[in-house]
Amino acid sequence: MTDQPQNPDLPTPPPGEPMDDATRARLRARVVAGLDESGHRRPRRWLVPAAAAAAVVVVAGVTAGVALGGDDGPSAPSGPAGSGTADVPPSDEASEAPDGPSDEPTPSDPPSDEPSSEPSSDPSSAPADPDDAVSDAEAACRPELEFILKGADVVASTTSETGSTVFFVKGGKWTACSTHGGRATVFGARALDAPDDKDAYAISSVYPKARTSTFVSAGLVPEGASRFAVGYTFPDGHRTPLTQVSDEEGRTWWSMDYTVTGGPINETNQLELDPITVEVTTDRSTQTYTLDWALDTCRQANHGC
Amino acid sequence: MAIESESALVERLRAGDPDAVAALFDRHADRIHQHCHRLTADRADAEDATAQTFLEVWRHRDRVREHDGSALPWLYGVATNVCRNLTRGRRRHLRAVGRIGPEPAQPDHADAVTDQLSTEQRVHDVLEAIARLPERERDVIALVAWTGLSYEQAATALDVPVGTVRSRLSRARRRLATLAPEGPAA
Repeated sequence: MTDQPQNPDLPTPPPGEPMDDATRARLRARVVAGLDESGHRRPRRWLVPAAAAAAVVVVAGVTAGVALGGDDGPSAPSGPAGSGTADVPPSDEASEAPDGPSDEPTPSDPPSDEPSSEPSSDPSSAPADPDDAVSDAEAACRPELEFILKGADVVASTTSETGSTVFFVKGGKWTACSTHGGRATVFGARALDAPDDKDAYAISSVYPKARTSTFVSAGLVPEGASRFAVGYTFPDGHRTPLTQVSDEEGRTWWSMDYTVTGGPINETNQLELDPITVEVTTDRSTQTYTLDWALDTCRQANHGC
Repeated sequence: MAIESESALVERLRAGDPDAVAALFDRHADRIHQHCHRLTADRADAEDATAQTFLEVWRHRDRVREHDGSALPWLYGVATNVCRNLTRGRRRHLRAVGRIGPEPAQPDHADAVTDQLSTEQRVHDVLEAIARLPERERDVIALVAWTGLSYEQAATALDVPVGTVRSRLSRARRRLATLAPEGPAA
């Protein structure tokens, strides 16, 4: 039995616009492709070395970062501000490429508990097991690659307390997908030999819940650099360490994530905030970039900011 | 050819048959899209949300629920969450780029030229009218008043007791009456 309500006193929107056949077909294809991507789990034998390699470079990055000023600490007299700097790890730390999905952190959740207004995958509920975290991340990312770098292979991944970043390569292009902030965020694909310019350090923004922001970035260490450090300094003074990991091809990848709750970043119109500064140091040069809010903080290709 | 029952479809979905998602898409995508369009007031977002909804259905297939032999209420619930998160992110971005200022209200006289407004603008206006309601009350309005779900179906969609749906709707009415004494936008 149903109880059909009468609601003459509630605002009613105009009739929705029906989908045309082309749109319906396109969305259907997108869904089916997403099912294909997520429906086959491949072996996880790469996960242990990948996690181990990531752990090594995290430790190296944080240690070096402390030496250069430390995260959130006082300003260092030299070196990239707040960078989690680390020498490029040797290629024998490379992880074996995976490519199998599983479950994903997601921006949505099917009907569940009463206060279901928040994303289902709160960063704080990230899997404790790095293997699971990376596997979940890859599964979350696969469907999102559909229109960005479909069919790309996973070459490396990094994991922190709030999520993972998975690096994908296909042909001469790469992209990265982050699950920090509770949803899969995929960057636009870049050429493997793309210039190491400002765009390479742009940030993606995710807002998992009220007064919480997550900022992520990732990239490829320039070929031939024997030393590489990136320091992101946010307007609240936070300086974010870097995580690096190498793949089987000898390439080194880096990722950064910063989740902030409350504070000026969440309570101020971002256009009124000071820009984010990025200092990139290699054995060849030091370059400082200024990232403008909105313009340089919406790098993601698969969802809004 | 006999039409497969929705219960059979749901069983196939639970069993991990991806074709069941495609079949559910064929049956319900238009309704879900319309629901998402009403919640997002943006065609592109509605399309994204529609596709995402069915991918979420696949991911959470072990949690699919039927109401009176239909998965549609549950689908509406998934879509509601997808759209909610989509619009939340977009609102943040819009604020960031300054497109929404502290006084975002459109001129009231827009009602006089409603027939000239695009559907999206009209949906925007309605969403604005209820923007100050708590999210959970907006969800109930969207499902019950806009989509036409019964209280029981809305309860299934939101996974709350029927009484909660009633009370939220009642509170929403009271709040709207307070916010707009002359009556809500139509």
